Amino acid sequence: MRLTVVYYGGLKQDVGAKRETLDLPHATLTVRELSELLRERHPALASRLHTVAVAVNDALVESDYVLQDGDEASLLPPVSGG
Amino acid sequence: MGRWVTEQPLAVEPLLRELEDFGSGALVVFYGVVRNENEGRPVQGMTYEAHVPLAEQALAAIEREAVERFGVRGCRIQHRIGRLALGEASVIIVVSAGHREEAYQASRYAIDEVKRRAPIWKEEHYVTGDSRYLDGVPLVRTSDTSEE
Repeated sequence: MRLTVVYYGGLKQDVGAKRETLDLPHATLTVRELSELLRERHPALASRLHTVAVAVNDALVESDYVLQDGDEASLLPPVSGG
Repeated sequence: MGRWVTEQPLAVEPLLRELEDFGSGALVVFYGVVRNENEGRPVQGMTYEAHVPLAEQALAAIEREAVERFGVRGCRIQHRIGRLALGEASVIIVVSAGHREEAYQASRYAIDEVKRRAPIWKEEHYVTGDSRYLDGVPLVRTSDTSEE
């Protein structure tokens, strides 16, 4: 499956990119599994992932949400608007 | 960009026109503006980023809640994104109400909820040339807190 991951706020700096495309052997992947995968891929994210919310196709999702081929997952760190 | 999140400089007049209502006896306008220092460090500007579709949903929901909870006649919120200079407005909140009490309460509620719930991030640019993303509030539905 192919996933696009989009990083917001300071996560862009941790990863060094605004977005990346992942080609994975999995048929599907839960958000929790994606989080584990990103933890290994980007050690700089490891300490922050537990405070990161995930949105898929413009809706916030829970950690058991099942990602499908072609999905775009947005990683949203703690917010600081206003 | 839409009704709630925009790259354009914010203007209060169109929001006041939207809320024009002769039944209103109080209009409260809140501006959030870029300040020249934070935690003792001189600031020269700010960059705001949003997850635009989700931020628009959040600001629309906060407007509705302000009306429902405080019985005000109208509430409009706009947040700017992109690079802002000192003194520029990052957010404007306008509340129209029968009386000032509920207008002030609803305005306070709205800005507090914006800061807590809108998927918007700010990066401070310092006079020294470096920059930093500010620490924020985790969105309520975090991806997974059970891992801790």
